[in-house]
Amino acid sequence: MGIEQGKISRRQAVFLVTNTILATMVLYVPSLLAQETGQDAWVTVVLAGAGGVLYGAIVVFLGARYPDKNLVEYSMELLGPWAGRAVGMIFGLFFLYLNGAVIREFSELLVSLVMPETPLVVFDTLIVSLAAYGVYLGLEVFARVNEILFPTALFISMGFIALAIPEMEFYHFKPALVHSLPALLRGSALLFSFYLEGTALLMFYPALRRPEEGRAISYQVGFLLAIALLADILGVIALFGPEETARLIFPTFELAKTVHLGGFVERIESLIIGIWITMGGLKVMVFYYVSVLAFAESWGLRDYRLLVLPMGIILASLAVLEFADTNQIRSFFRYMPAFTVTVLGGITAFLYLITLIRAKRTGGKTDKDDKNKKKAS
Amino acid sequence: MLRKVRKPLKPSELKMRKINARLQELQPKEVLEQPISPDLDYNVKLMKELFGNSSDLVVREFHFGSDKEIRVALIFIDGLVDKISLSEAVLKPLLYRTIVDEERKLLPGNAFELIRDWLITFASTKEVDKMGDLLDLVLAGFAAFFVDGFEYALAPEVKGWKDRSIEEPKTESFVRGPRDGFTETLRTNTALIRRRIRTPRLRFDIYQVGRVTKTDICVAYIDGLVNPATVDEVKRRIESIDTDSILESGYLEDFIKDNAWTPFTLLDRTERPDKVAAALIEGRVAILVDTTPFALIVPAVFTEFLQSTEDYYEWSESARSLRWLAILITLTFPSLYVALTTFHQEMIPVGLALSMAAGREGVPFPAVIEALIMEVTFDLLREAGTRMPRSVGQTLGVVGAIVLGQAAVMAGIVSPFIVIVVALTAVTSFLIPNYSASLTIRLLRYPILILAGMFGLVGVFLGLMAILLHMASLRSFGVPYLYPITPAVPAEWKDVFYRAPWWKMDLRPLLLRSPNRRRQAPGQRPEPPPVRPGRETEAVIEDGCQKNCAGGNRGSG
Repeated sequence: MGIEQGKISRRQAVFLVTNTILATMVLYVPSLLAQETGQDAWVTVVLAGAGGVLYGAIVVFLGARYPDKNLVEYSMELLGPWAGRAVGMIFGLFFLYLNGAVIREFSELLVSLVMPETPLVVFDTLIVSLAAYGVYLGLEVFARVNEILFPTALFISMGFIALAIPEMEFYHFKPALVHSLPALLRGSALLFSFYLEGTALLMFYPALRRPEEGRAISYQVGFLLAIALLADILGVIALFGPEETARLIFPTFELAKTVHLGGFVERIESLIIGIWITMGGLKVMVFYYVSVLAFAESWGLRDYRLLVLPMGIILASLAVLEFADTNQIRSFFRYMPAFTVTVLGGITAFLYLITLIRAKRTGGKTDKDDKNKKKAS
Repeated sequence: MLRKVRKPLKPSELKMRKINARLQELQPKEVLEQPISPDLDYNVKLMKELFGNSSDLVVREFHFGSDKEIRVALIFIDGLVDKISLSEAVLKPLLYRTIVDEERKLLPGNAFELIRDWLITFASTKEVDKMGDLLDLVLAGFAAFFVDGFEYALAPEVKGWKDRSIEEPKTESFVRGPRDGFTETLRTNTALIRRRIRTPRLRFDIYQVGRVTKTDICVAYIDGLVNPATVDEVKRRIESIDTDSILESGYLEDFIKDNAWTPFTLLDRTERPDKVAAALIEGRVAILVDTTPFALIVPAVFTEFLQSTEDYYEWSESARSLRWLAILITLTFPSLYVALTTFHQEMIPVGLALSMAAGREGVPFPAVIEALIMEVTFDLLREAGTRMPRSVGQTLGVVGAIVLGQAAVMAGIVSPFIVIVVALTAVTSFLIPNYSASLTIRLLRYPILILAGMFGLVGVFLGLMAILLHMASLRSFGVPYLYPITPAVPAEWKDVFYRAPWWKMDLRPLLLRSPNRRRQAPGQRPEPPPVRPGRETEAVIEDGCQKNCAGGNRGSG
């Protein structure tokens, strides 16, 4: 009996989660990874991908355990109303805070790359208003829009990378596998922390038209992410080499700058801006929706739309107030893994453990259900 | 004695009562529910009173029978009835034939039955016993026939009014395809559809809406192909309308569409019976309104507005993709011009940028104002063109092209590039086959243009996303508006981005939830016949060629 009445298909869920994870990842990750692991960055993609699929299994286990309840609802059922409410509030606050950072990041990007004379708060407000409109219209609506825009954006980005192939030098990958295991693990942890944002799925798991397909969703998300990231990181490193990539702030953007076609198509990197606006806008929408829904569920509201406007004002101000300058943002994204792993990983692991203990205590009944579900999927 | 205390009415109830009383005034109910009186004079007087001696009401009283002892009255509305058939089929038999045969003599006692069964030679005649029903029939073009001493009246359907003949539709013109279009008469229109679909399962359910106009509204569908829930929903929405008039299908459209506040049209409308027939066969519902040559088709989704019926007759692969391109250009071209010239000059190739800068030299306005001026001017011209008397249409073209285009550029008010941009947008906007959809797209140019002027490309992208979000939130009779793009049904894209050949489209669209999805037998792809013994013409020809070639007399053939 959740607040959300809309239903989304498997494809929509896959695209939504993938877009959420990928949108910020492609901004900073190639450069940060190149700093840690140089030309061996692709190894971290594989490692983090494996970790992501494992984490996805936990998320899907929780989701499938309560197919008609979202995270806040079943934590209230598992932990009792007050502890559950606290978990819901932490969850909501986390996404609110992170969303502020994401919005700041995107507005900063727009200001620094496209329109340097426009104040930050303008883009900040624009993005939040668009997201507020999407959240107000509901999950079903922005999931559908994402279903059109995400594949389009992905296709165009891949096109950019393909067009840059003539400029690439593949000797950059030699010598392979020279970085130490700790460095590789650090890089993977960095990547993995972005995968944790997929926990957002647990807030709209009950909206899935076929909840038994959760496992397939997690695999497809993992696959899409791996492909997109590998293409991006390999392309960037092959184009600039590991040292240069580490020095650049937005390597993907620089990659787009090198694209030429037939002497007429030049300097089309502004299209990349369009892609980032759509992907970023949709990511902000998802986070916005998750935090608003988490608050509404914890406070027992009948409709979350009431919270959209106040939360939007908070979000827009947070985005301005969270960081003083670009350096702070970069350092935030450098140390964000610790933050994400503690909160999101913590909540998920905690709920997972409690569920397991509960299942053991109440006997085989629930275990059997899970096995049946596994078989069905 | 206890006095009964009446609860005071709530203000809202009081208001509702007042509203109802007002609505009732549109129809004098007390009179209408009266039965027909046996007194002929009373009936005639009542009719005359109801019409207030309106000049088009014709009342003809006469006597007949062998001794002229039977009094009858014929009432009809001049102009709504066919006078020739009225006199041939109704008046003549009564006045000429006084005796039916030896046993059945016309007497005041049996006059009504004899007239009904023996004398009136008209195909469709109704028998009515209520004044209100009779009144409705008279207003619809029936004649009322009272016989003195009887509580019934006869109403022969002698409808016949001046009607436009079936012409080629004005708004949807084709190169190839049928040339007949709907007219203003409902029956003609239903016949045009019936002629194309010869199945008894084609249904035309009729409703009357409008307290004053009593407009006939016909819900057409094919039983067994349509989803019954859609038909019920359409009927429910039509029945719930309580208004005084429905003069055009547009009135109805506003009442029955799903989202009230949207610039997008949520119903398809057409003048073409072949389009309606195709929609019915797909499992849709059509709504025909009397006195309108436009039929509404529900449910309608956005992708349909880019499909012209002609796509299915004359196969052109590029038409669909051209229209998608046209939408994109109409929506974004002026705003891209503004965004690029104002904020992102580096994106324009150098040579072009230089000539654009040269063209803009001396223009006193920023690009966004320039674009707004020209776009508004174009819309003014277009609006003037549609409302103008046809004889002065030429003038408009001259004024628009020369004075506003050429002169504005020469005077240095706008740059030549914006004229190109506006002209291209104008042309592309007419590529969208659906007029309402084209109007909507043209309207949405403006917000994007303003966003582009303020925030450059960022504004354009944000604006497009907001429009997409809005479109994704719309529904037409429960069907998502962007179907089948999203929720994505890739199997049906073969009729969205291009038009697949007919033998490929075996199934009806999923969105209509038709109980019978299969349209045709699968695997009907045409192929050349295999060469079989007895039909070896090709082998013979090849042999002949080989012989000739071997003989070396290639030139002799």
